[in-house]
Order: sequence, then structure tokens, then C-alpha cells
Amino acid sequence: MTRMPNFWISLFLIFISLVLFVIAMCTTHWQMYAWRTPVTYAATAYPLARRKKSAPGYPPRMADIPAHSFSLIVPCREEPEVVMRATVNKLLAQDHPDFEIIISVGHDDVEPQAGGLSTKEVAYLMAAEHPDRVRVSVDISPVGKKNKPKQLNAALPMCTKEMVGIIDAESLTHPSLLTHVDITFQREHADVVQGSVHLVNYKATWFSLRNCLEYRTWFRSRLHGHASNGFIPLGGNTVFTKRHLLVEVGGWDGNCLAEDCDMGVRLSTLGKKIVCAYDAALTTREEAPTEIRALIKQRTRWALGFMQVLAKGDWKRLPTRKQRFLAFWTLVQQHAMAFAGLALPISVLSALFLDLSPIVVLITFLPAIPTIVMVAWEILILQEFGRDMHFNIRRRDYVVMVVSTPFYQFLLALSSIRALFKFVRRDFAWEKTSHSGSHIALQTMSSVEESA
Amino acid sequence: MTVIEHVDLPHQRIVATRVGHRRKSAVAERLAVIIGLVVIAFVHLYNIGGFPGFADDEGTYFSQAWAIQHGQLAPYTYWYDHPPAGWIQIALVSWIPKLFGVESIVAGRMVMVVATLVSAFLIYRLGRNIGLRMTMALSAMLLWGLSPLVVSQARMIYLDNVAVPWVLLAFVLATSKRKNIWSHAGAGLAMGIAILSKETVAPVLVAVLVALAVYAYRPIRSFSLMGASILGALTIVLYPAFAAVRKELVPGPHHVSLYDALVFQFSSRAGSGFILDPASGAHGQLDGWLGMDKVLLVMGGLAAIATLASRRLRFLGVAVLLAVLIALRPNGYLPGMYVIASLPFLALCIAAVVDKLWTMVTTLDNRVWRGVCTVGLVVAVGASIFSFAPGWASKTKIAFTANENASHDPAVAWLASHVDHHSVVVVDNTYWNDLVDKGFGSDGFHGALWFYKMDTDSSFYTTYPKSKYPEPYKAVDYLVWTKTIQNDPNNLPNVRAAYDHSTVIATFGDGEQKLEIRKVTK
Repeated sequence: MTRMPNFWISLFLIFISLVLFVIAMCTTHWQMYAWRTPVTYAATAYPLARRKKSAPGYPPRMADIPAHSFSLIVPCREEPEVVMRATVNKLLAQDHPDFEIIISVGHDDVEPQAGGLSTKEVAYLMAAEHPDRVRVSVDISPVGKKNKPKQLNAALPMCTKEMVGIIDAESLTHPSLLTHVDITFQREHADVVQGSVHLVNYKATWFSLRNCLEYRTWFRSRLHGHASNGFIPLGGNTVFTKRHLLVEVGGWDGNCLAEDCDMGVRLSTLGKKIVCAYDAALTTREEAPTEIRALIKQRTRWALGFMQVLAKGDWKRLPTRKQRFLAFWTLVQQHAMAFAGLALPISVLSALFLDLSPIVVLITFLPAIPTIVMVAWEILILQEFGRDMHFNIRRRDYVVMVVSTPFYQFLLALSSIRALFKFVRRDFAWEKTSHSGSHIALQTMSSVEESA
Repeated sequence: MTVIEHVDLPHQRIVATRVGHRRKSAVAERLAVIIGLVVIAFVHLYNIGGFPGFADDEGTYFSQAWAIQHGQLAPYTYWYDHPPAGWIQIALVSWIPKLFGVESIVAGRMVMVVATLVSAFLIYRLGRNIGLRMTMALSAMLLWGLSPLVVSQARMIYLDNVAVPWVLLAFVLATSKRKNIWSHAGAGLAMGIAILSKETVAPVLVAVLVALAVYAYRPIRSFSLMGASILGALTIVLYPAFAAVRKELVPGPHHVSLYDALVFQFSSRAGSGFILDPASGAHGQLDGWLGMDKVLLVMGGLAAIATLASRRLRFLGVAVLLAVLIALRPNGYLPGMYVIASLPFLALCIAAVVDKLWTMVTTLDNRVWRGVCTVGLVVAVGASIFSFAPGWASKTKIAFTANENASHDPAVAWLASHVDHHSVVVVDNTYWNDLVDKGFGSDGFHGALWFYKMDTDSSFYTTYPKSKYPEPYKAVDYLVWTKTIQNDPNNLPNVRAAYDHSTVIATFGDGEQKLEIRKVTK
């Protein structure tokens, strides 16, 4: 009597398992882009040798001379003084000849932060200390509707240089970053250059290691895979765009939580050339959230923002089918992963407990195979990460990475579901992730500068 | 004098010099391969039903494939004797010859020819991947495909013959020119499937890793090795996972277990003695192999040792020598089919060594020496071919003309027409499939009954309980008494009792092929 429902359940589980298997295989395949073949490896690693100086006695080659100018917007909201100072000081130390810094604050950001001063006060203080380089832009949009894109839009009219770059408040940039971005613009004739960002406080909590690895895999590998296929989701940090382009498209979408991705989609539909550049030495260093609540808020915001971009429909105007598919997949990715993360253990357990045919049970195991292979490869990716960034990754860290996988998946799934609820309720308020600056101490101790 | 800087990967250099060579003769190459495969197919197919004689194991594996086609893992309780991937693959293809009216063991042997052709092609492909000239890679393929030892072994329905294409695929993927980590991970997967087809090829995994270590792209080599290892391990783990899901992983009352089967394979099984001891069964096997073909084993063995000196060829030598080391166990179990997995590598070793010698000889600086050595090499190779070719020709003639299964079909036909299809007939497995095809019962105990199970499978006693059959042999009606059953080394009291209480009602054949059809007196 139980055979008929068991048959349909088996069929359902087989179908789900095949879907999960495809999702897991595609994810693994795209994440491994940089390490797939000798060709992709060479394309994604920009070895120092390629930046060799010209032979002594010869004039520098044309491409070695910086030719552009940069306006760098640093959007700040409820930032402690130490965080803002670290970021802006690093920017002031850039070796590029022609750039300006615009610190963007909200008009209501007058609450004293850690250290006694409010964000607005620190901004004006720094502008006074460096009048030739630093200015302050104040966003006066209504309280309660403030967000990052509105702050960026408020700062945009103040930009006077050729390129506009966005540097998040807790990022630590390398002094040669702008020079190399400049050269990239020239060499590639690009309209947008996306630099790389790495999270560096991998030891902070059990989940920060996985978080850092995510960024690493994205900027070292997956982003380039997307780039070679024609669609690049832009990030909101260390991204540089031609100013006139930004003005042309009307700036960022003030209502979108993923304004960076939205900008990327819009520029791609206009056929603009977006280039992503990766270099271990030049990568911007950022801080991963150190509290679970902060991580979930951040991921909820991203998921919600992606859903907004999806709903807006600009991606449908991308020129080729491949780009449209990639854009769609990138935008629903978080939900697919959340679904996969929850569905896999459920399908395996139900097949076991419902006492279904052994073949069906084995089929529910299938999606676990590419997942486990990916985790095994992530061990090597973590090793490479440590080597490139001069971190001392210990055995304990590898164990944490492997063991935290399902739990981290669960956190992401939670964020994804939370985002779904918010989307349905039309709740698009910007939940700010607080920065503590825990990675700044890390940087003063590491020997990054010598490696350039 | 110019100094050429060495590239990090020497075999890439070889690829660069050969690419032009290959493009010119691409069509000729394909044609040569196809012709070679056709020749091999012919040699393996001709008289496939007549030589070699049917073996009990062949019937076992074919009956298991039949069971797969009918929704079961085996006709009798599956006791984890081998992982089932081998006969599952046979089941996927064996229905095709049946469409053309070919039945039973001969149908299974035709499936083996498919595996042989795949293996032959992969040997050629592997030869090209490691940098052999086209002629040498083709020679390796033909050396393997036409060897009388291979012809006799590859025709038979052995799981080893199903595993060999997967093993070769693993090496082809590991040495692939494009060096994609998915190819390398695929090598692990292929090796996993090979081990699930015949678990005894497991040691070759070491050679696959050696090949990967050499042929993978250096900066991402760790990814290749990791991918291959993990994917291979996960594939193999499916087997104990399968046992665990069936709740047959660990021993327990009233069920078989994987653990018990492993214990049997590794410890309880009677050994064949030390291979170099002339009196042992293992030595007898060795004599049998050498009797069929000395070239692959002797020259191949020497060539295998030579390959150890070359970085890009070393994995071939490792594959062979691992097999040799295991065969040298003082009292391990050594069946005749053991040699199958090593033969492709022996053929490749010979071709690789000749190829290397040819390169060395034709690039000598001194013109005189170059001429002398080239001629010398040609003469040596020619002389070798002339020395073994007649032996091969005569053995192949035997393969084409022998009729070692002459009594099989008449006996089956007689049983089909003179014996009630509902009666219980004890047979060896070379007859099991034929009887089932003729309409005899197929559940294993009512109809065709494999003799071995009469004493070793407890289901026999649940089907014919002691209460109804105080003398178990009385459950049986007929006995097809072949040399296989007569010479079986195991202690089978029920079978013996059936024989002792039976009378001959028909005989077929003589000598080794003699069989008696006996009726049990109740």
C-alpha cells in the first residue's frame, strides 16, 4: 500500500537531486575558473613580471605613465574615527600624481562614535587637514530613507576628475593601486575597472574564514570567469568608472540596495567595456563582519538588492543570451545556494528515513559529490590565499574552514529567506553593517608593503 | 653556439615538435587507427564461440548481468563478492546481441569485444598523449590487440575486461594535452569506476597519481591531484555506502555483509602458492600465460624496468611493477585473469622504449654512428618480429579453428527437448543462462540451479527445508555433470550426494569437453 506514494516521492527526490547536482556542478565549475587550465591560470594571475620596468637607459613605455585623474568617493556612515582616518590616510599615500578624495557623509550623522567625534566631524576635520586633496559632501536626503547610493549621488556633482572611484570606509588600499588602475584603463581601453577586494580578518570568528574565502574565490577566480563570458557584476568597492558615463546614466539608483550591481547591469546593456583586474599585492583589504547579526544583515541587503535588480528588468536588455543567462543566474544565485544548502541534507535524510530503494538513496547523495570536491579544492585555495597575502594559515584554520561549511551555508540560507520576506513586505531600508576596524591593527603588523 | 633554455615541462617541448608532424598526416592517422581496430575486431570475433572454452566465471557474470536486466543485483543473494559496476555495464549492452539471435555466453563475449576495441583505441590515444610517434602508438595498440594471450583472455566474460577501458581512460585523461583540472578529476572518477568494476585493479591508482604528478600543470598540480583523489575516493565510497543503505555493511544475523566478503577475499581464500615455486598453482598460471605469448610478458617486463628511467614514461613501469610485486606474494590468490590489467601497459612499455631508442639513435651527432645504430635498431626490431610472429600466427590459427565448446549447444538442445522445464537442473554457470533462455525456472532454485549454491547458499535450505527434504539432494531432478563441477576444489557434499545417487541418461563430447546428463534417483 505504501508503494505508490513511495514511487512519487522517489521520483520527486530524484528530480530534486538532479537539480541540486547541476547547481553544485555549475557552482564548482565557475568558482574554479582561475585554476581550471594553464590558459585561465595565466589570464587571471598578473605576475609581477608583467609589470617589469623598461630596460635601464630607455624611456618608460607609454603605458607606464599615468594619464588619467581620479575622484575617490569614500562613503561614510556611523564610522569610528580610527576607521575613517586609516582609509583616508592610505588613500592620501597613493603614488598617483592626480587625484582628489571626497568623503561623503549624511547630514544627520552627528552621533559621537567610538573615539568621541561624529562621522561628520571627522570628515570636516580631515578636509581641514588636507585642503588640497580632501573635501566633504553632505547628503541631505530625508532621514529614514538614507542609503549608500544616495550618498554617492550627492557626492558625484562634486567630482571634478576624469574617473570616479569608490573606496568603502573600512578599506585599506595599496599605494600603487591608482597607478595600476590608470594603466589598466589605458591598456584595455576600459570604461570601468573593477579592482579586487580581500577580507583579511580571517581569524576573527568561526565564520569569517569562510567569508574571507568567498571574497578570495570571487575576486581571484569567479569574477574573471564571468568577465570572459561577458557579464560582470560590479562590486561597490575599489571600482572605478569614467565620470562622464556616470553622469550620462544618471548616477546610481537611489532606491536600490545593490546599487553597484545595478550600475554594472546598466553599463553592460549600454555595451560599455568593464575590466576586472586582480593582483595579490594591490588588492584592497577590507574587514569581514565579526558578528553573526552583522553578517546576516549584510547578506540580506545583498540578496534584497539583487532581487530589486532582477525585478527592475534592465538585465533583459543585455545583448547576448549568454550574458542574460549569466546575469539572471548571478542575481538568483544566493537563493539557489540557499535552496541547495537546505534541500541537500533534507533529501538525503528523507530518502534514508523513508526507506526508499537504495538506488534512490544513492542518487540523493550525488549532489554532495561536487560539493565535497569543492571543499577539498577550497583547502588549496586557502593555502594559496595565505601564500599570496603572507598570512600564516595553520592546520586549525583548515579544519575550521571545512567544519564550518554547512553552518555557514545555513547562515546564508537564513539571510536569503529573510530577504525574501523583506521583498514581499517591500521593506527596502538600508541596514548598515558596523565597522570596528579590527583589521587595521592586522595591517600595521603585516609586511604587505615590501611585497609590491 | 646557441643555448636553448629548457622549458619547465619537457613533454610540452615534445608536443611542440610533433604537432606539425601530426597535422600533415591527420587523415592517414585516422585511417590507420580504423584499419587497426577493424583487424583487432576480426581477430577477436572470429570463432568467438569456439575458443577459448567457456569458463564457469563467465556464466556467473553473465547471469548477474541478466539479473540486472530483470531488476536484481544477482540471480542469487548478492554477497558483495565484487562491486556490481562490472556486470551492470555488461547488462547495459548485452541485450544488443540478443536482438540478433545470439544468446548467452557468446552474447556476453561479443560485449567483451566492444570493451576490447575501446581499450585498443585508448591504448593508442594514451601512446599519443605521452608523446609516442604515430607508428609506435599504433604498434602498441596492435601488439596488445593481436597478442594471443590477450585474444584468449579478452574474449572471455571477465570483469577485468570491463575495468581495463576505464583504467586506460583514467590515464588518457591524466595525460591529456589541455591539462584541464576537470580532465584530471575525471581521471580519478574513471579509476573509481574501474575499481568498482573489478576491485583488483586498485593498485593501478598509484600509477595514475604518478602520471598526474608528471603531466599536470605545475602551478595547479595540487588541484589536479586533489580533484582526482577526492573524486576517485567518493566514487569508491559509493560501494560501502550502498552496502550501508541496504544495512549489509557489517556482519549480523540472517544477512550477508560487505565486511564478511572482504574478509573472505583477503584471508579465507585458498592461496595459489609462490609464483616462482614450480609446484604451485600460481606457477602453473604463469606457465599458461607464457605459453600463449612470451613477447608481452618478457620483453614487456624488461621494457617496463627501462621506462622507470624516464620521467614521462615512469608511470607505465610503475603500473606493471606494482602488479608484479603483488603477484610475488608468497601465498596470495592468483587467478588466470590476473594478468589482464597489466597487458596494455606492457605493450605500451615496449612501444615507448622502441620509440625512445629510435629518437636517441636518429639524433646522434656522429653521422656514422647514427647510420650504424639506426640500421642496428631496425634489424633488432625486425628480427624480434620475425621470431615471435610465427608463434602468434599459429596460436591465432588455433583461436580461429578450435572448437572447445562443441558439446555445449547439443547438450542445451537435448535438455530443452527431453527434460521438463519445471524440473530442477543442477548446472555450472556456462549452462545456467542457456537453460533460463530455454524456459527453465530462473529464480535460482526452481529450474536452473548453479551447483555451487547447492552447498553454500542458505537459501537452498529455506527453499527445500530439511523437514521436507531430509536428504537435500532429493530436491534436485537432473545434474549436468561437466568437468567444471567434477574438478571443483571446494567441498560440496550435496552435489556429491546428487552425483552418487544419479544415473547417466545422455553423454556429449569427450576428453576435457565430456559432459554427462544425469537423472537423480529419488
